[in-house]
Amino acid sequence: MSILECRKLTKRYGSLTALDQVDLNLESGKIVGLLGPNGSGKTTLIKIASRLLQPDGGELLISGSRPDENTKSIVSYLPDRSYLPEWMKTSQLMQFYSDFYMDFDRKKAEELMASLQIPGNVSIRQLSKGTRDKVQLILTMSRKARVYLLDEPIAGVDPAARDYILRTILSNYSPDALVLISTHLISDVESVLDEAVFLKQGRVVLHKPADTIREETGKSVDAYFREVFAC
Amino acid sequence: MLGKLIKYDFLAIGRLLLPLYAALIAVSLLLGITVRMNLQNGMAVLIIIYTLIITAGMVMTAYLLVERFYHNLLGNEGYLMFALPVTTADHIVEKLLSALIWTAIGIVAVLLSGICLALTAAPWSDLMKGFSEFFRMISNGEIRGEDVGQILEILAVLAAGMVAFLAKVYCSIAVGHLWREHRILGSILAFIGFSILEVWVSIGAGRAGIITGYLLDTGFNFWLSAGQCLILAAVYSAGTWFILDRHLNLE
Repeated sequence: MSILECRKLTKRYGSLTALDQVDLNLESGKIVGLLGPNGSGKTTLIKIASRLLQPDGGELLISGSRPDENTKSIVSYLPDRSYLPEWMKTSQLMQFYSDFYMDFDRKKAEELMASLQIPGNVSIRQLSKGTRDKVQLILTMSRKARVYLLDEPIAGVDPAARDYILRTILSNYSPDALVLISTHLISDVESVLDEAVFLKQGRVVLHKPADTIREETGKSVDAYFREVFAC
Repeated sequence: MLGKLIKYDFLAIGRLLLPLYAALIAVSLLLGITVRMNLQNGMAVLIIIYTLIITAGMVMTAYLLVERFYHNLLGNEGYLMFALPVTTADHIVEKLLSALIWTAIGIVAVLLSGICLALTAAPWSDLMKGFSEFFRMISNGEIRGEDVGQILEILAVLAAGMVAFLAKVYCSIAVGHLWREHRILGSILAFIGFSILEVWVSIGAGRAGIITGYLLDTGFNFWLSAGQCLILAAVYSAGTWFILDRHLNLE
């Protein structure tokens, strides 16, 4: 059974159609790349799944239900920006996540913070952008969620940080969960993907296992992506 | 979940306002000592500082109650808050309850500073006289239950009025959020529009025999006025809920 399902999902911003009749079924236990250039609708789809946006047509279902406060308790969402309150200390943030999410593993978060030598009494304001990104990722991945929605988790960070982020995702997600990674930096994530979804101008143009894409095209997912989205 | 939301809003606002109120108490104690020792120069400076702190407390409370709604829910922090497993109604109710709590804390802090000032400034004999006079008035029935009731009525109207005003501000911010650009301008225009609409409805209600808080046959009624304010708050909050729940579009 699909853990995330889109049926004729449509979203418009004025005259611009961000998602156009998207049909998509994603199953648990997979790491799926939501791949497309900027403006292809990746963030819009993730925001609808997180209930930060309402669709104009069709529907998106998480574990059979439309997004609401119940689905939010099983979805762990990493936005594409700095979203943590700057005045909060990392220890307060861990308490915040513990208070609101039953599936938050505080011990794991503390271990991951300690491995990066991030003390608990430091406020987010005092951290560099790269470290803030890592704190956000640690908080997101320390939940035992059924769906992880990671919006551009490696955009704007240096290559060493990219490695850390991918390692953290791989070693911390629940094996029976769906991990949806939105990105346009395919080569960096290709090695971890089970499936790839190509979004082009709000439409799904391809949804296949990464291995199948490589077998059928004789190219890497990244090379095939460049061919499909060539300007 | 509502309690948890209040807890974190309390921490966010408290880290700014509680030190200010602590300073207010400290200055009131110092002021009381200078009054008692009749130190004219120190007294003048401390009165200015005392007034400034109270003014700063009022301005900061008003600013923070609006700023928290705007940045915590509709700024980047909104990505954290709206991803939480709580309802949109919880977010709105929490902000209004938080406003009531901080207004009450502000009033208590000012009263407490006044008590501290009195305790340190006045000779003990005068204070004891004041207390015995107060208890005499109660025992002689000069302070009656109706007087206390009237104070409660006034407080209820003030609290309901403040909730209605803030609900209007929040609804205005939510309307401004529907604009793609110039969202603050949109919020200000919405606030002006709502205010005009309120006057227009009041005039209509006046023709029907009911003006805010007044019934033509019985005069001003505190509880009626408080009730009208709460209805107004409910209408604005419903509008805010509709926009944030159905048309949320964070930048």
